[in-house]
Amino acid sequence: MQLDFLKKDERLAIELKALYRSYGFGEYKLSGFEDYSLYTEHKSFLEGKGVLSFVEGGKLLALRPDVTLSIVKNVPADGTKKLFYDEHVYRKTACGSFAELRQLGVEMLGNIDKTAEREVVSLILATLGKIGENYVLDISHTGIIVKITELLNLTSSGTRFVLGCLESKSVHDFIRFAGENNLDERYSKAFAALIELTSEPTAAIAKLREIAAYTGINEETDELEQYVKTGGGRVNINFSVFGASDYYNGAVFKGYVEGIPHAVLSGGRYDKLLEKFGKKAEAVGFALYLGEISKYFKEQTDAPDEVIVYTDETAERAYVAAQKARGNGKKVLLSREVPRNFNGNTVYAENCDD
Amino acid sequence: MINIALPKGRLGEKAYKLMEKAGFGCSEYSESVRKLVFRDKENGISLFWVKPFDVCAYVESGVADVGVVGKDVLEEQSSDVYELLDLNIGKCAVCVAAEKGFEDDYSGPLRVATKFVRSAERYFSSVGRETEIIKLNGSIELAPVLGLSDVIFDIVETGETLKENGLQVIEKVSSVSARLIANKSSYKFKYDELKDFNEKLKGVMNYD
Repeated sequence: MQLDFLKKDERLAIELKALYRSYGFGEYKLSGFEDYSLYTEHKSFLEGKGVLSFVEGGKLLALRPDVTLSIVKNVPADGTKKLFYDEHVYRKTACGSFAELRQLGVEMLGNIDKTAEREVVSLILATLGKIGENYVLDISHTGIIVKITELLNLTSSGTRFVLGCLESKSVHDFIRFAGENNLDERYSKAFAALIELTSEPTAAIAKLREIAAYTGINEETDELEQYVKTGGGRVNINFSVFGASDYYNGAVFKGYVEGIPHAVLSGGRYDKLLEKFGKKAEAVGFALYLGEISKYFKEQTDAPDEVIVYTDETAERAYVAAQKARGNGKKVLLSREVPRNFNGNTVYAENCDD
Repeated sequence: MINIALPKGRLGEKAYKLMEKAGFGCSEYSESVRKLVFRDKENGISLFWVKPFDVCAYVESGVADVGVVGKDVLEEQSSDVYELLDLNIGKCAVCVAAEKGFEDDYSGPLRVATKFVRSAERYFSSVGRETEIIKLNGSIELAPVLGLSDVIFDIVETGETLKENGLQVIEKVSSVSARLIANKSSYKFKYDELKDFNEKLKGVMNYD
């Protein structure tokens, strides 16, 4: 098999599966469909991805918009499990229609210690490194966001508003809101600092230490510092990254690769999701949106290197010539006519050697 | 090279003047030319003039690294972008307006004409009012006058157009101004350039 003939997303999937297996992770295959109720019960975990449902034998079923929920539901909470998956998910796109997208991901469930977290970060960085040379992993901490937001003492709509400011780095709107609502000056400054935090991780940690003195976020800052150390210059602290706080509890990740205009992977520490399933265990994982990023891989092409054009009279000669060329590492198409817009080498079988 | 999407029209012109003042002028650019793309290699910028409602799409897709867009449009489109700066220009307000003398009797859904469908739905749901939203693409003020809607949900700058059409503001929903937005990935991989652009714009802004 000529591996060079694989498209980048196909090659990437193979390489990533090999990578995850090299860390001792086993593949987890999901079967069939999911009960629709799984998604109605955990709506905020889906962050508006939408669910395609249908009725089969009187049961309301769904095409999966997400894999993590199914894994958490199905995997028994005994011992530590290290899994990866390669599945298709069905989600709403920006224009409102559903799309089928390939997703690869890693989940670790059970006892998640410092070493396990370190392994996840190195797996994320290795994953990003296989997509492109220039990449960065943004990390934030749900605990820090929750603690400082709670100190602002807001209503639920106020909380939604300030979290929106954090997500879009809109410090001007937050400062205006803080002034209009007479928020505590010190805690407002702490929240504004989260929005404006420098992308340089050492300075960011130093700023968080300052804030920790009066907000009690020392432990969480220690965790972030650990992630930064593991990242070797590829990890930035960025609080515009966060997940639903009723599911995530620790670090939250988003990975970016130069040339792709949106995050290519996301994940985090989600012990609270397991709690909701009555499982006493910890969990961390990430998902790579392979289906959404493959359009940015420019070198993808199905075009052959050569077309051998044949007739009934020259078919045998064409077949032999094509096999020989393929054996020499060429992509060869046998055809009765030259395909439209084909720019490669065209050979007419009557000119091939006997 | 920073790729910048500016909205065609008055707001874009104001934003461009601000950029010029901050040292990001484009030698090729002229208001009288109908070209839509201009480049200035020396200043390291490329300008695209696009429809105001399309700025977010250009930035979110990474075709433009940054863009200038009204907060009204940004709220409507809920785009996944960073909002780096309130440029303090293009100030107006999102309002609910109706014909003089209109009183909502709550006997049925309120008919609302707007081009900001999602924002209108969000607002009326937050105040618990059932609505029938009518999506229009322009001349929104006509809708209540001709009986197409009970109220309009639209931006109001001076209130002159409302007045001329016999309408008045019955509720101010939010304040609007132009924002500098950035693509999330560009902000990471062109950080120094975009930070410099942002800081220099901040330096020439009018804060009154």
